[in-house]
Amino acid sequence: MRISSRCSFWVMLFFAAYSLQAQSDFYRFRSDFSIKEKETGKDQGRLITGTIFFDKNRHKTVYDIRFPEPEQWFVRDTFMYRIKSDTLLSQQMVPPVGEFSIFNLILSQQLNDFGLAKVGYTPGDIQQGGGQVISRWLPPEKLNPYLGPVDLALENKRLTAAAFYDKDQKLISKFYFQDYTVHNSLPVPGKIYQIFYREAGEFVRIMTLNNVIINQVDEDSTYDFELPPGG
Amino acid sequence: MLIASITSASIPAKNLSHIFRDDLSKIDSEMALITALEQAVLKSKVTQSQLLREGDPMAQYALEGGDISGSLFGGTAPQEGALLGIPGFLWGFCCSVVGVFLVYIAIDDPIVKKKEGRQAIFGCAAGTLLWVALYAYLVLWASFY
Repeated sequence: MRISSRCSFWVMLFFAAYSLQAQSDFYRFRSDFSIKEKETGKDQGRLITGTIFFDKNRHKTVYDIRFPEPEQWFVRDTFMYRIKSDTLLSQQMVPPVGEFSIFNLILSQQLNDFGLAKVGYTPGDIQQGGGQVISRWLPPEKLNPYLGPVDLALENKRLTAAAFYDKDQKLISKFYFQDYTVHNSLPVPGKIYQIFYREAGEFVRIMTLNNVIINQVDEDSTYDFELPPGG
Repeated sequence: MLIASITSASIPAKNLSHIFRDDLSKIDSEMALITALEQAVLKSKVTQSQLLREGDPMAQYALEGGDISGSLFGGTAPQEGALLGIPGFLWGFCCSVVGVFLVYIAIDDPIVKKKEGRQAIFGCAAGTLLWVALYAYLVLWASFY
């Protein structure tokens, strides 16, 4: 009993170390992006274009925005700094956006389950058809009063869609992932549709990713940015 | 780890195949004006203020000003409430006291702040309890072996 417990401890340690090693293989993500969003039924919407630099190990994200106006957003852990023309515009606390970002899911190779397994969701019903595998993921039982299930659709082992529900099984939002390309063996969606079902009506966002580079090594100063004076 | 080991009750799922049948081309069509603006911006590398100064009719399709953090960080529209579209409970559960703090300082609407903040506190309590349980389990495990 004693031996088997120790054995299992070392096996667990090995897999933990292996997991850490595997996760650190991909640590940087760079891509040009555009975000288009609007409420359905309205002509006016929002457009943002720029380049994203994400360093998973350093917990740093840079948004080099070109439209609507050129400025840089530097995010480190839970602090964000807005820079325009080398001048610090503002700094504020923000949620740890890097940890929750799609870029982190891609680098961590957790996009297939949207990172749900890591936070304790477990797969329930699984249905197949039309080349898709659709599974319903359930939150940990103790969190049922607060969280709802998530449906994931996979095609060729790649996530193609996700639907999120609240605790009352009411649909909150859907994601569609399209135009995958492979970079350094990592599948990266080129177009992501997000549909939010709100009481005020549907709200739609399309994010496109182009010119993706994984583990870029020639722009260290951008990924590992220095905080601006006063920051 | 501990959370992952908790088994979930099975919720009877309906036929799931109908869920992902949205017509994405319809969404593309609805977004056509913004897409035209996007193409123009990518081609000529203009800014919104330049478009407005030049009286370009395309400029009318893009909202001016406002907070773009929700758009960048993946949340829903700002007025929707939940911080980045992530329930307050999860903020508290995953980020503990920091999560509760973030929910309180980042949400302006007092009604939403109260609702999400409360959920974040519940999440913080649930997360703390789980960590305490894990710690107790490890201490017991270590004392036996």
